[in-house]
Amino acid sequence: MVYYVSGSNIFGQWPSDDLVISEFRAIPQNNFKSQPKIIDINWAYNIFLIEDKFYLSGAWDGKIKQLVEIPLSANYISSPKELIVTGNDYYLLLASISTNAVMVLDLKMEKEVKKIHMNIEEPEVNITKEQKTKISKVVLVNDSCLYLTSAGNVYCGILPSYVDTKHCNGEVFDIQCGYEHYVMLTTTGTVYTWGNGRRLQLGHGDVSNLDVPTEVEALAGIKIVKISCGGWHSLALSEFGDLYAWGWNDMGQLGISNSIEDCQSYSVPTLVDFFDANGDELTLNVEDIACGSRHSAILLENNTVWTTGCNKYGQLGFSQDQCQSSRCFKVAFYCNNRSILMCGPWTTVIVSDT
Amino acid sequence: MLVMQDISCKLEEYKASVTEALVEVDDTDAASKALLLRYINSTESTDRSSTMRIQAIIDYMYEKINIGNWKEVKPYVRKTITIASYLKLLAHVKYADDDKETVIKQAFKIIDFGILFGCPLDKEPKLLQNCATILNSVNIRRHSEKSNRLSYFANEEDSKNQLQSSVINGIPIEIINCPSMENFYKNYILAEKPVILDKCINHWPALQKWADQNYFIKLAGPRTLSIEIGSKYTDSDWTQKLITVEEFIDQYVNQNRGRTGYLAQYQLFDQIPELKNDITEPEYCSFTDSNEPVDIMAWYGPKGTVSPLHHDPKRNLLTQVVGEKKIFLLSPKDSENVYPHEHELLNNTAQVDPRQPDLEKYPMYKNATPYYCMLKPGQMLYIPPKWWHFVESMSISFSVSFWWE
Repeated sequence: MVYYVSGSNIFGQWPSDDLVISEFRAIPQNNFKSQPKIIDINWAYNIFLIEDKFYLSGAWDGKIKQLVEIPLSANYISSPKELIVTGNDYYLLLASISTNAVMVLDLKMEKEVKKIHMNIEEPEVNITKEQKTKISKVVLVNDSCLYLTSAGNVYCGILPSYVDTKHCNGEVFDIQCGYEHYVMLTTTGTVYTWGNGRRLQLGHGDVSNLDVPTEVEALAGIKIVKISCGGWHSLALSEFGDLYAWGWNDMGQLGISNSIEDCQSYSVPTLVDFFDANGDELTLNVEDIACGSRHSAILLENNTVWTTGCNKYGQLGFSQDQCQSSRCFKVAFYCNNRSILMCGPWTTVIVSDT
Repeated sequence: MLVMQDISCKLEEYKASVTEALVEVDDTDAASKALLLRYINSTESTDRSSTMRIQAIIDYMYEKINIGNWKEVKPYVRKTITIASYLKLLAHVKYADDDKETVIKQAFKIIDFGILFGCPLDKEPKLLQNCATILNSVNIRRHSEKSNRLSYFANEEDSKNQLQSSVINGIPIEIINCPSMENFYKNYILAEKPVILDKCINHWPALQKWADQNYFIKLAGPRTLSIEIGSKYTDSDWTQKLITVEEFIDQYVNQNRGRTGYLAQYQLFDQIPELKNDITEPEYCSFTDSNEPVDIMAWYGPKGTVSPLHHDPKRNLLTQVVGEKKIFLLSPKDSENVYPHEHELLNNTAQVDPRQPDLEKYPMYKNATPYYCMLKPGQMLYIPPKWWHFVESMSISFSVSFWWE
């Protein structure tokens, strides 16, 4: 596996001396025996899994360009394989699959690394008493947090509270968080959203807020196979390889417009078309999608990666002199092998087979 | 006239108090805080990478202020913008290698972004405003001394006739000369009755100075403002834009082509305190039930800016300094006759346009009693709380509103 990275390196979170990586660049394996696996990309740090140990790279303990093993208390952890690790600007969140326990490590309290185990003790919450269901996914973005269990139950908040999804069509199989909105996908390919809708990110045609997961009607009848959330926008990929986008478009993150002046946001999911450099429409299927804070990346069936939106920190994979932002998807990288996409707030990563 | 090095030293005098103010941003994330701490304490030469890291903090906090409602943004987020803007300013003034004029212009942009999106530190509330004052002492721009006094007055007779004939059941608003405090309090404040106060601000330097657009360019040409684009805020393509004073006057005030740009409901006097010397807070605002300071807002734009019929919770003395404005007022008793919008975000705004009321669509408007006037330079209109008001500029116009409770 090889990772190609473009975007912010402000905190030295990637192995490069450049503060901004503005073209997709393979990350070297450094001195490790195996390729580090990227677990989570945050604004100021990344989480890697290297040789069965979790590492944090970037900002740590008041310093930048750090690479430290995340101190884990042996009391809670049987094996790293049993652990889901994620984080935001304030916390690292560790969820144990085997015990369904959640541990929170306060990033402000880590002045001395030795003391960290003190902070792992609280809060600890048992997500579910049923032994059969296990935590299967945790998403933590800004202050938004969602948990998904193997039984398809959804919990919201770092201190998890149960989200009622009984009215939903099918079983929940994926969850995503924006900065203030939530998106959920069920086994029937139905998309539900809730949270703050002030920037049209819920896709229901208005700016209302919603407390309850509500079906996105504009996508009814279209089987969605993948969802992704940016800060205030969302993407959905259909079974036929079509891309739908909605929400805030201040930087062109929806990739819908071709004109430079048009910065209209979209209140309902809207089909996105792609055009090559000559302005000819492409009919290729979309295979993968990922959103950063205010940018989007997609992978087409011909193994090309296309990006749109904010490029101030090189997150689109182009030099910033070339463009500070893009209002439509442009081709940014040609992959040689099968690949998938990941985004951090100001970063895009292509994960390629070797 | 100061050289850049002196400016730099003067700006750095605030370092100690900004360092003390770091406790005010204690809730900001550990990574940003560590960088702020590092750069405020460092005497190391500030290289390109530190400027970029400070900019990254500003950009990230800018994303954070877009989360949730603007009014509910946590103060530490905005204070972080203030502190980071100050640090960016120090590095910029010290190390930028452009010519002096470019450096100063850019410095004002940094300051104004910090004022617009940051908020005052308890420890040093006027930090960025004071930095602007320091920079003003080297404003080296050469101006043409030609004054740009405008012949903006609409044909007076025309506009008057047009106004009267178009207002159904309308009542002209009463005009009184400099009333006594007692008279104003008893007959207008307590009675909640609108009135035009004439000849009360004859002593304002603004009446003379602001009629010349070049005055603003000279005083604050490179300062950044946030203006409204679109003729009224209820239009679907209405938007906001950051622009310098000079660009605003060139592109929007002095010409009628293209979209309307309006500096509306803007805290100009906090951002550029020098302008406050040209006006005085009217004594009439001292009738108050609270200790809150009076909100002083600027309204500056070309002919044709429109504030649709709406109401505000506070008392308002709308003061006309330059140009004329056509104004309609309706009592709160007429609320159902003006058809307020139903959406919660717009329910203080009415659907009726009092200039040309569509009586087929809004039949109850014929029962309403619109008060109207053409507000002239030197006049102040008292708008009682909750009274519906519609305002349209008939020429280049500068008004100052005083809001109090």
